[in-house]
Amino acid sequence: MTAYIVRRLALMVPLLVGVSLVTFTLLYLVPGDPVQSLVGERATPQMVESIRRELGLDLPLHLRYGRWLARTVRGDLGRSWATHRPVMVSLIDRFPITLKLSVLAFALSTLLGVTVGVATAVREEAGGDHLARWALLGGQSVPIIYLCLVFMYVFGVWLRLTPVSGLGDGSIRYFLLPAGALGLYTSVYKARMTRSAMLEVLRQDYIRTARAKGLSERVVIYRHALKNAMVTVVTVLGAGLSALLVGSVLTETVFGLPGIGKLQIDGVYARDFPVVMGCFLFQAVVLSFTNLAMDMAYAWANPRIRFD
Amino acid sequence: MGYGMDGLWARARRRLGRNRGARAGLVIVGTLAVAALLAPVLAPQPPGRMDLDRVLLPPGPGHPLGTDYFGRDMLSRLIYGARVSLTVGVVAQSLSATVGVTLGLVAGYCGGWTDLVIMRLVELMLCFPDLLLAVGLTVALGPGPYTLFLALGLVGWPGMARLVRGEALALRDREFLEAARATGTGPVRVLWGHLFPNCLSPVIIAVTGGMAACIMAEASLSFLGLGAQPPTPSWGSMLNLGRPYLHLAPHLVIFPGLAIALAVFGFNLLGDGLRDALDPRRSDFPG
Amino acid sequence: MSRLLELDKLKTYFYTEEGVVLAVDGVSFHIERGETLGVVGESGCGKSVTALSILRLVPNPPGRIIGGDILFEGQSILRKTEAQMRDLRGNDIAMIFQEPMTSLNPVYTCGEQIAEAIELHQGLRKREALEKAVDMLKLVGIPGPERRVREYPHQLSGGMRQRVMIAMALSCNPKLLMADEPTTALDVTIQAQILELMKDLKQELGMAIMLITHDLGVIAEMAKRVVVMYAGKVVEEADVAGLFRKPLHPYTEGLLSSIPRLNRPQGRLHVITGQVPNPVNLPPGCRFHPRCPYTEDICLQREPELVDTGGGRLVSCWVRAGGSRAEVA
Repeated sequence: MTAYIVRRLALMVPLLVGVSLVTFTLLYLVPGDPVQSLVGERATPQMVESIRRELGLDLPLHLRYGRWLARTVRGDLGRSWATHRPVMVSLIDRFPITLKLSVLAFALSTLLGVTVGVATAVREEAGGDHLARWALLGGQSVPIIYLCLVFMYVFGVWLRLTPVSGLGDGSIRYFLLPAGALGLYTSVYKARMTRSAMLEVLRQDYIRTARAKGLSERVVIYRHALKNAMVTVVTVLGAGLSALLVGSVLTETVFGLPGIGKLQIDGVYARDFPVVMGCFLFQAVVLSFTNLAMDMAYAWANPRIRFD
Repeated sequence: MGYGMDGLWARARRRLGRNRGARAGLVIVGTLAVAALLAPVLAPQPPGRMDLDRVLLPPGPGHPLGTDYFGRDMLSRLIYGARVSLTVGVVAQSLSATVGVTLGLVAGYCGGWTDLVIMRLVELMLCFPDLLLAVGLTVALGPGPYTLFLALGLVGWPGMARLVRGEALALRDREFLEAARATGTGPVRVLWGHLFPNCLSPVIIAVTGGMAACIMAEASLSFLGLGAQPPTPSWGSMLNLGRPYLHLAPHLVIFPGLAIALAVFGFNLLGDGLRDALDPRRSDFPG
Repeated sequence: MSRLLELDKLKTYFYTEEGVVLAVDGVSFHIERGETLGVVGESGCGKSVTALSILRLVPNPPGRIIGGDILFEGQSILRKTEAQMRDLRGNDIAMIFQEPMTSLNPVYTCGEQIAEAIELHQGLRKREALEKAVDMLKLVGIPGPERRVREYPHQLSGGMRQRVMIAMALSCNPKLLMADEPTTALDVTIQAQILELMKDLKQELGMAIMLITHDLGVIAEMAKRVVVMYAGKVVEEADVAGLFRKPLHPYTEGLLSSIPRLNRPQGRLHVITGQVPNPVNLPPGCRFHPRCPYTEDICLQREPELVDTGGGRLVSCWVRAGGSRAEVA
């Protein structure tokens, strides 16, 4: 088990280097002069040149990347060009907000997704129509941004139950709408996965065996079928995490929640190279770790897999 | 089970015709295509015509879906928006399908180092959450239609490559390819003439699903201001423009959002129906 | 005392997109207490669906029992509530399936799966039930039962898994054990072991067995009486010795002559010509007539009835059960 985790952690290193290299190269292609847009029109050419040298922008790509990598390994992600705050500090400041949003949304979507998935599968197996399948497909077609705006309008503007947007004092009330929208959005995927996995499992021979034993339908479904279905569902949750991440970026932007995603998109607008870079790297690290956690959950759920 | 190509297509057509979801999807997608093609004929007004005396009107006579902050007719803008969404989808999917299928076929057929290098690249690209990669590309290249095509096209290819490689790998040692090789067919012709047609159904399913994903991604990028630039009437940017007036004129948000959802739903339904119809492993007879 | 099991003109149909499949179409036979009945036929002839109908576990949709009756100890199974059925399943009537590889739940240990039925039907606590599971594993001849009880199905071979299935089925002392092709998926040597085990257990526990198979060799080995099914119907019923001595139905004849014999000089193995009929589009008249070497005009027009020819032998054939023609005409 320990050996497995160590191996997985070791495999993460080349991956993260790859991610950072791709991102770095991408941002290097930025047209126009980032320095010019930083200092404004009135700066003298000498000023621009000195800032450029100060930021290391006069060096060729591989040297810049080398310098960046050397600093990053020491935990220094540089300073924002716009605010001069260390990027690492901004990330640490904002992470709790994104974490709170994501955890709430993840819990909601898992609960909702699995419940709906099981219910629709059981209904369909007992001779129901394909209505649920279409409804879920329809649900998956609603963009997260739209869902956020609809939530804002219905609960914030119309019913006035919650604050419309922003972080306010940071209390849970301000997270209800964003987490609700993001949770609902990501639950559809989980419901579809659970549903198809359940339908597949319910066709298996061992379900017939369980029924032939005289077990009640509830025990057959929740004890025998669901655990097997979850083995399948957990394997595809990795893709769901990526959707959660993308969703959280858009949700934070719509609701004006100052989390990592908002930091990133604001960085994109301002062409704030170190901030954008830091956010990408941070997201890659988080995704890698959560994927590892998912794989471990999979191994735990499936006795056929053992670490060796 | 072995089916000839003819048998497969005939059965697929029969099943697709019987699949109500697929038929509904086809109707939605067809309507969108007509709207996009005939936009100048169908739209009541030019999408950019402003009328500052008639701003933020709710749906009513003259403007069935109301007007926006500049007094532009929402219905006209939505119809032109179908053009943007479908164009982006078609171009980006063509790009990602071409790149993905080529690399996938080569990787699966050649194996060895070629396969290793291509698949490592694919895995690396798949590490990026799709939309964020597109965001990165847009920042690098500056927003605009071509950036949009390229960004969304480059996002889609790794998944396609992985899919096609799997199919190619499974087919590589089958008799019909042996036969083609034995009669001296060149590798390019073996790849495109013999291997590719046998991977066609998963590719068609993936492209249909990819269209849905593209329309969604285009909307999100345009919403963030990184996609289609004003005054292009893209559904995503319409959402963004309507956002500040959510409490005054919710129709500015409701209709573009519905348009996106409907278009994505259409392609999803079609893709889902195609999956049922084209997958030879699904049997007609439940046993 | 009433018979253990009696099927009376049972009809189970499947309503599919292609049409209605008459999987079981008016099947009647009975099983006495402690008796082993063989049910034989090609795959798709309705023998497995018959067994599932007895447990009322036919997948619905598309399957439905639409007619006839099933009496277990004189009581109609079809009129029982679902709760009463659950009481019966795994307790009075147990079943083992063809595929030992897929019939056990991969995420629970063998012990848990055996103990589950014991807890349910005998009201034992989990610990006691697990101890009983160990005893059952010992009974079916699994070495090291204390260890095996904690193992998952994937850690066992096919033969071992079938033994676990048997242990599970017998754990509540059923009155009837239905075995659906219990050895088909196993190696030949393992097949013999499993059949031997079933025979021994029957001696010891005294339950009746309904043995479903396509293999007449297995029937000869295990059963006293046999029912031959073809395309959803019983075509012949006889004691095993009589059937092997002189098969009445042409289909049975064909089945018997396609078994290789060592003690008899034989040129080529006989094969029944033609194919199993399409279940949604059965031939008119006798369902076997397109493949039958003795077909007469009447076989094409009217379906023969199952007729008692005396001595507990029943056959459904115009040609072989001559007397019936006059009765029907």
